[in-house]
Amino acid sequence: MDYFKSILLEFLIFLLFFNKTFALYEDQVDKFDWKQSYIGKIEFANLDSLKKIIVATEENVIASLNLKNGQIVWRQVLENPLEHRIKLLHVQKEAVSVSGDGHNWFVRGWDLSSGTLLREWTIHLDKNMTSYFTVSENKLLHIAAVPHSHIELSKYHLLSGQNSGKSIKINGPWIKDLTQCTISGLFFACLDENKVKYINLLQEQKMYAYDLSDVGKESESMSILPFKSTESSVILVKNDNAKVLRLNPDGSFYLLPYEVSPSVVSATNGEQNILLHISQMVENNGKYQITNLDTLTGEEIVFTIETNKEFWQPNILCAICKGTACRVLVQTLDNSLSVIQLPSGKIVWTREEALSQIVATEFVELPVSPLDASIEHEFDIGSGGVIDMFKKRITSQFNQLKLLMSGSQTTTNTTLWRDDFGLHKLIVLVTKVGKLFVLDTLTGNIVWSKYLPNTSPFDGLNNQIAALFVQRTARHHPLSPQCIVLMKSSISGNGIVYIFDPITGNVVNVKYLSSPIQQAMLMPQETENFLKPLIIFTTEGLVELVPESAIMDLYSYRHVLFMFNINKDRKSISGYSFRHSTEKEAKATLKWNVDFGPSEVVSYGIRPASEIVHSQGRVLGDRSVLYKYVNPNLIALSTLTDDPLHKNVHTFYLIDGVSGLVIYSACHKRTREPIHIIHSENWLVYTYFNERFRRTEVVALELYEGSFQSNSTHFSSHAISQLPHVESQAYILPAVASAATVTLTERGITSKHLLFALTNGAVTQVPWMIMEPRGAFGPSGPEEGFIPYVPELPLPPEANINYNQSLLRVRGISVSPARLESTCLVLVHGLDLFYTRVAPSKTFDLLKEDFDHGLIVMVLVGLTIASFVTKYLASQKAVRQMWK
Amino acid sequence: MSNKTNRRLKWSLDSTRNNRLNVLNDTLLASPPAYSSSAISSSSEITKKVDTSHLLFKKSWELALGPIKQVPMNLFIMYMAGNSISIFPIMMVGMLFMRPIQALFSVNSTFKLIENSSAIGQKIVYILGNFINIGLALYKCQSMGLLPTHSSDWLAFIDPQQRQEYLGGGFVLS
Amino acid sequence: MYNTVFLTLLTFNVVYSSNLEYDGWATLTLQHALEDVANPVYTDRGNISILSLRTGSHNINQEPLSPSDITKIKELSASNKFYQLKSTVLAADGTVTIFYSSVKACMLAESELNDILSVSLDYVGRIIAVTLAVASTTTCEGAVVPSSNLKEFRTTVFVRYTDIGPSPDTASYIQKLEREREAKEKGELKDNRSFLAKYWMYILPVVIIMVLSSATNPDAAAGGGGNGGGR
Repeated sequence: MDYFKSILLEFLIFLLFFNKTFALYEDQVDKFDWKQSYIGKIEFANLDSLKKIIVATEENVIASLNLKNGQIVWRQVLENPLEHRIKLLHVQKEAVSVSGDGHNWFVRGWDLSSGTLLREWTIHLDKNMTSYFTVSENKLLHIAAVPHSHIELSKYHLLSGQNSGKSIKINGPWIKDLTQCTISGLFFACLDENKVKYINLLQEQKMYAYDLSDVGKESESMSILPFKSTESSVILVKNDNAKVLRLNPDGSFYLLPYEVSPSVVSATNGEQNILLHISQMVENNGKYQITNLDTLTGEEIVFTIETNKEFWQPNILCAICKGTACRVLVQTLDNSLSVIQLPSGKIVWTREEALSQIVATEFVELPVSPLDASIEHEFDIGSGGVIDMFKKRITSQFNQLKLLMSGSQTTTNTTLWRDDFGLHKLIVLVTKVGKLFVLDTLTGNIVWSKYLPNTSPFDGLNNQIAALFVQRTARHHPLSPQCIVLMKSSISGNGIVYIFDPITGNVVNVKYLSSPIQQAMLMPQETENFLKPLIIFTTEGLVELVPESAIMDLYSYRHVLFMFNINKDRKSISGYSFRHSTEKEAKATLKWNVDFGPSEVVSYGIRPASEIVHSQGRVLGDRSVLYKYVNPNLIALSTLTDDPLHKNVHTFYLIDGVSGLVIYSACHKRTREPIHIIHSENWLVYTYFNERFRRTEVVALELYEGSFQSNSTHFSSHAISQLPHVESQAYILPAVASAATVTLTERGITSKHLLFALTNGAVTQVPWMIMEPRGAFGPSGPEEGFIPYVPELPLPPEANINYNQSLLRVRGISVSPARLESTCLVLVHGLDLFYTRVAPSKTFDLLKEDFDHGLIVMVLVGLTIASFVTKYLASQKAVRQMWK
Repeated sequence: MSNKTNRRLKWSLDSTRNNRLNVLNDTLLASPPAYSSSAISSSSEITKKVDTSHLLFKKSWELALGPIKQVPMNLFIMYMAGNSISIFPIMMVGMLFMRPIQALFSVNSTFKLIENSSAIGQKIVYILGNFINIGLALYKCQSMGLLPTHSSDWLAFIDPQQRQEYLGGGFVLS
Repeated sequence: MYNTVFLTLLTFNVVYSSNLEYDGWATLTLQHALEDVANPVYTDRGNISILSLRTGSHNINQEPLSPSDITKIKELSASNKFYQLKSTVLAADGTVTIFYSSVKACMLAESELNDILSVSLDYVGRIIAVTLAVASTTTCEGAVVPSSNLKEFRTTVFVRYTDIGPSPDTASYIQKLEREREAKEKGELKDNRSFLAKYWMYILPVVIIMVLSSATNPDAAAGGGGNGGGR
């Protein structure tokens, strides 16, 4: 009894210090990990001085960038961009932002140098109206427009939020289409019936009109945009040509007589105002040029942008000039942000803001180095003959020796070759704007990037997704690796198949499908070229294959391939079989369906295809085995139902993806999103928010077949002899998770850790061991590895894999096994990109960093010498004794 | 007990030798009164014969029963060693195994000392006793959990089930 | 045999979690396709009326198979194809839902038409899935089944419910902590016994052994004593 007590105590102590072992030493910071911070696509930009750019972005981020190198000086992340929008960024002594969801507007003041929040006050509206904001002399003007009727004008003190006077109603029957209205300085202007009608907000309710027909212009297909300048102005855009209309405080106007491009900004050049606009040159390979236009004289200076990179429809955000020397902030269509220096036209720096919205990730192995490849291919050709083989062997080993002597490592950062431990990989990223990036895991540098114009990702649940598949890995040496990304055309919605080499970025093929894609899956079997064919199921019910020649492969595997599809309304799920495919045509036949009625699928989880389950059972206290139910075709689903009685009801289903049998279902009442599902081996973890207790709960499920395996060699979903035993246990997660996943290792020997990205910026690891259900079959009583049940999961700060580097608005965590069994590579993506490696069972297969190689060599050499010396001495002694 | 008989045997051997001398010298010296050399020699001859066969029989049985006699001692050692797996209990279990196995391999040499061809029964008992000791050692292993008798001991050799169907899919892409 | 395993497990589920708030009924019209083609023709198989979703009581009404249907099933089985089932569910509120399901025909034949119909309900008792299954450990064994055993479906219907999922067990944890605290307090109170009272069970065997050894070996003891005296 005392013995057991001591074990219990030991485990309590173990639990207490369990997570201490994951903590990082201070000198290990930045050694295995890197972090990149992004801000998103810029909506408002202001240059405050020569050194800083203050920006507000679509991601609801307010940040300050260093003008010289583009680094983030400070960054403040506001509310979720799905609900809130930034409407105004005003920079004076401090940056003032107005953001909100239509009902509540938050006015915040930020310190320019540090980014600290100086003040915050709110404007509350009863109705959701289209709101415009503008600042005039310490007054914030809020304009709520009601089309065909009026606008409501309220004035607030900018710093205190004090409402100065009642809101004024201004009659405005001329306000018709709010998309054709804009606010510029103190003017609210609308385009209506060939006229620009505008009012001065601070003066009387007088409406001025500027007749476009006077200057020979039609308002057809014309749009009105605000123009930021020292004087209130608007831009009138028609067919990629724009004109600046200046509105004077007294109601008069002045149309600048110059044709400019819509991407135009004003800048002060010491004393006079200039206009800067960017346009594409017809000659000179379609390069872009920036025109510097003096508004008074009409004098034009043209600068060509010197760049070898592709420049997709640049747009000037703001500029600062000193004489003819200007710095121009330019944003292109692929969300890359650059500063161009004039008059040289050179790009000073570029930020790839597309990386703030990643929709698909995949880790790709690197090919072996040419030297290793030569060794690998030594035995490839059988006709070489003995002498030839010998020569090859000698040359390759001589090369190895040469490399060793020269001291150059094969795993330097610049070479894209595989290292021994598989820690050097490439990460393929697909972003929302349709730009592909490939990053190096060692440095985080962009190896190559490619913008695919007119593509957009598919709509996921709350996010957008793209389908990214690795068709061929780098293991088949002379053949280059191959990846496929599936996107849709942003014009027609039809599917686009982009096939590329992830190492070099070379395009293998681009296919434009004639219909939208419904579903896609990679065949697990390889063709003779080691390519895994991709099966694409279109909305027309047709099945297409990439490559098309793989139809014979599909035909031969038609009985074992199945596909499931969570339908567009997200209220049903159907399973398909390919058994009716012929040698000429691939066909998907509906096999089963599940109808959730009014419930909506919010999340699903399937096991990673590459996961290997090392142990087939768990050993119980009496040394018998409980065999795991490892169903590779198991789909975990979460649905949410609007219930009048219990608010939202979250139901968790386990469905066999081949037969359609519902294996398990459980419901939780009064819950809501976020719901995450982790599915690995024979267990599942799902999280949801419990509205009754206002906390995040985590449920762990484990599936067991029982004490006998019904079929020890094969697993078939058709052969159902018994349903698995389900063990479950719930825990409280003392945080809100924004993404969750589980570590993955090469052979599955290493213990598993769950990774939770929390909304407070931490990514924490929780050992599966402490979450394992402790039921009738789970660990119970004083046995090895037993940790007593504690309802609240411990989240010690030492278990944060990102130590003190907060990661904001995390959208996903992707993992990949290294070739070291102990190590798993992790990429956390969201507004920040963070890469690190984790070792759940510690690096048991690596020597410690402080391992003393010198000492062990010295000891070995010493022992060898000592043995020789003693041998000599012993023989001498023997001789002497013989003489006696 | 055995010591006494041995001693007597030694003594009787000596006496016979002396007797022989006596017999040789019989002609030289007259026997003391009431002494009959023949009677003594004949009686000693008989006792010697009976003694050796009886003693050999006894001796062989002693040898044969030796392993069985060790059983209580072994049981005690087993009890003292405990069921924890550490160096000393393991060494003791090793000893428990080694001794009977070595004894089994040297059955013939052990029984060579007794030049008696009719020791089959003893040999069988001896072997049986050693098997009892091996059984005890096995029992000890079992109670220490060293025997792979449970299904969990073979768990590491079970290969993962081969999947017969492959599944792919997910949310509709559109 | 495996069938019974399946049976017990499923019935266990039924007994355990029938906590529907409202009872209801449903009628399932079963149609099957005896030809495995992409767009099969479904013919009537029978119908099942679930009288009470809460208790799972039901009536099964299936016609015996005609000889031509039996040969069709045998053909399907011989060519390793699928037997498809279409179940049209009419729920109590008048909604009609169609569910498709299929099993390997050879498994169905080998089980002698002993099939299982799993009717899954969600938490309010709506039917979300009707799945046909055959209890077996392997896909197909290739056994020859005489036609006389393929005359009638011997269907077992299981109505399966959605359990209430687990929630964090804070109450028992707090109780456990309480108990531990109490035990600690008690332990502290009880621990002021005398040394002998606490450890008598360890002291007693030692004493007995010593006494016994001295009694059985008086010479040694005496000799030892003598030696001691001599020193």
